[in-house]
Amino acid sequence: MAEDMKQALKSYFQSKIEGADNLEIQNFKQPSGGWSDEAFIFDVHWSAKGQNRQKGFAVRKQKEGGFMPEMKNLYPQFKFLNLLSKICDLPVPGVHWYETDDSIIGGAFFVMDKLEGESYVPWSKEGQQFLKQAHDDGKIPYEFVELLAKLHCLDYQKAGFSNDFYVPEGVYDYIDKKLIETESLYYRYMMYPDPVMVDALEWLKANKPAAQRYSIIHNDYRTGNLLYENNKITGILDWENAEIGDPMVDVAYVCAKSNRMDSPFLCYLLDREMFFDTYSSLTGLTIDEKVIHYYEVFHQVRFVLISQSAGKAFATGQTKDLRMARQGYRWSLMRGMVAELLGY
Amino acid sequence: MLNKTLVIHTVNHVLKESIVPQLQDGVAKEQAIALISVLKNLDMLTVENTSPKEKLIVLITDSIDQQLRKLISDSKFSLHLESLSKIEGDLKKAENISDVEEKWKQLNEIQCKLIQFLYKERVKNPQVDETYIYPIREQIRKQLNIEMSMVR
Repeated sequence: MAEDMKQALKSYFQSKIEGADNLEIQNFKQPSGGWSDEAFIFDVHWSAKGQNRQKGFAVRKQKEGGFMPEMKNLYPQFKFLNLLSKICDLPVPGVHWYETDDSIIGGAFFVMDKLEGESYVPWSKEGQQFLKQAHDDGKIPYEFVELLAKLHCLDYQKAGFSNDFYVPEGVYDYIDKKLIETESLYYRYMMYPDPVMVDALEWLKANKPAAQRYSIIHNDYRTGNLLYENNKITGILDWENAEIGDPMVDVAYVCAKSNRMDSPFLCYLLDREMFFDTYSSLTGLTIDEKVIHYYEVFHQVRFVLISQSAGKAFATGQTKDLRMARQGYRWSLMRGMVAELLGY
Repeated sequence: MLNKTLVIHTVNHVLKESIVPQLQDGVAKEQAIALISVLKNLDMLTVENTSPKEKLIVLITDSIDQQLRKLISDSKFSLHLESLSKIEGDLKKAENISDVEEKWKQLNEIQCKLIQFLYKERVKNPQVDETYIYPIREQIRKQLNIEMSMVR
């Protein structure tokens, strides 16, 4: 399988790098099976005009089935990274090509730069050890907040995002749109009517917070989506849900229980007070605990939808991936977390 | 959430197609092949465990019934007797369903309708939270505990 992919990539890069001789794919890695998309990381070696060249690339490929498959489209992510990587000094990959021809590697994909560094699964033993050490050292936690603040302070209008991406206008515009989308996803993936989700959706509609301002938001900013090297954050990955929205969505995501479970630290890394104080002083935004709670409920509702979509995909035979069945079984546990947040 | 036979059938498919061909160790391979047969037999000799849903049906029915009585006797809801009677009618219909899965599903649907009705009322009457929504949540928590105890 890996050999077939290497061969396919070799042919592809041969067609993309003009005048390349002796092209080879080396250090080929597939970081994990991939829940929604698949990723491949490798170095391309070639010679041109008598000189040896080398460059690291990463490929992100759309996967059949998986979580919320109807929501998948790599092109916005490609466009987003294309703009973002050109306007800021955040560690985000530059992008090169977007392809829709299935015959190349079996699905739509895009090619981006390989970023150096190691990633960790935050809840694994190794991840928890790394993040605890980073917490005690203090440099990575500060950088974690600083990068998020920088992202939220970028001038998206000036950078041209408003030409290609939806820009909310009124203070409730963003959340109104998200709630319509969330409710329609609930009905799309519903297997059984769920009073917990209906309660949560009604509660979200009844308690909408006004956005202080809109920013570029990542929507999945957590320690597991970063790369680290030499006590530094060297990469911010997984931009598939990035958009223009309320920055408190990202702040609350960092606080979400699903991203820390029993750890006393947010995302296994941060002291809550330090996070809020540093973020506020860097962005000038006020953090209101009520708003954070609101968006924590919102995120937990989205987590339930992930379990719901996985369970439905498995139950209806759209996927045979057993991880989807496991997620489906977790449905009740995820609903339990929504109930807890609502004070049940 | 997932049908027992479907899950076992798919697990066996994954064992056959994705796991067994990758196993290099002879003993592991033999055990995995035996596992496929064991699972098939286990599926044929066991039935879906419906007892948690049966317990849930009792709890949900009581909860809806209790809330409806409270609402019907509450003068603040006198203008909504028609909507409440409709929910009451749906409850009666659901009580006559014999299939456990379908009955549980219908009762949950009624709980959802009741919650949506209460949130609409909440706009005019904020006391709905204390009087109705919080007590319903207590009942749903009991249901959730049963559902969560069935998952690892």
